[in-house]
Amino acid sequence: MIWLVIYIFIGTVLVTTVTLSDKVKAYAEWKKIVRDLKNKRFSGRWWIQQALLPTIGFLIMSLTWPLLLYFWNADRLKKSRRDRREEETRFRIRRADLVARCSVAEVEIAEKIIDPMGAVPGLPFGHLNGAWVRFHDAKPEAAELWSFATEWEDYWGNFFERKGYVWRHQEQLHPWLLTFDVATNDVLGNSD
Amino acid sequence: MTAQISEGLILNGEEVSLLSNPLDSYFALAGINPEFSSNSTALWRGYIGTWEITADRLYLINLQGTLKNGGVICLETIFPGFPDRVFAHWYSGTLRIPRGKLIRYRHMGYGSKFEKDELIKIRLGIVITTEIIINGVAPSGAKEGYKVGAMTVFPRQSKSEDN
Repeated sequence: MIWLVIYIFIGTVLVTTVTLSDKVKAYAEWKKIVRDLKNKRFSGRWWIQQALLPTIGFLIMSLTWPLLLYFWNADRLKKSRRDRREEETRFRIRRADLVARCSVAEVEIAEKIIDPMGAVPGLPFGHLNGAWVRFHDAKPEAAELWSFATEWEDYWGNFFERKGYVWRHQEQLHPWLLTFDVATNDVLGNSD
Repeated sequence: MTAQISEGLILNGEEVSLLSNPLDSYFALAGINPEFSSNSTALWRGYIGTWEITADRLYLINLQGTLKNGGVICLETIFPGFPDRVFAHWYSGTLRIPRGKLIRYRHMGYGSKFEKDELIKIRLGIVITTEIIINGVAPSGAKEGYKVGAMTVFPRQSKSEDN
């Protein structure tokens, strides 16, 4: 019997706390109830909405409070898993992705794009020259230029082959310039 | 999401629908995000590009769209100094061209299924391989060609309304 009393007591305290915390947030709702009480606007619908249903809800939750804890914990775990997945799949360059150290001059020669129809500017990286200039200007002091190549899996499990250049400064690999990015999933994946 | 209006591709002199958006890769790699205005649920990207494959190279030869500020865009808006033709050297991926009759219409993205798909693999703007995938046989009376079944068109805000 004592265990039943303790069980119901815990449930009552827990649900009271949750309800009050919700009601404090919904301050406008409280104000409306108080206003209704002052003005004695008690229709049948009012009693059902403001008194009967909340009381039934309160009683049910007080008796089944372990479920409340279960759902609260499941929700917390789900959010934590999502955050962890987001962090794991955030694109970053690791030391293992580095291919070779290079100089700016070497890269600018290697990345000149030639087109027989002259449909590309005669600048390093062609139409992507603006991105190269911004990357170049963002060089951290004393950083080395490296090329990288990696396979990256995004949040939804799609795989990409990515290549480009990165500034290596002490152990930091940032900022980077992506020059090649191709999804390695089946192109018809979205058509079936 | 509504089925999307395709890009255009001129391939061996024939104009076909292109169910891929190579320009999106350009915006991602170049780190730019032009604010296209979309006036239809069938064109969320806000532009239509016409592409051409010539001598195994992919070119963008026309671009139509409107910016949120009301400005009309053309090739030179995005690629200054290149009003007629832009070599898509940034693009690597697979171009999908629907062939034959419609097997199943799907009112989402480029999700409809056709009897065949011509897949052109491109690496850094250059054609690597071309293959035809057979998806099945369309029911009798099925229509040929890529089309969007329905869309909602929003009235475009005029410049004077913006001001």
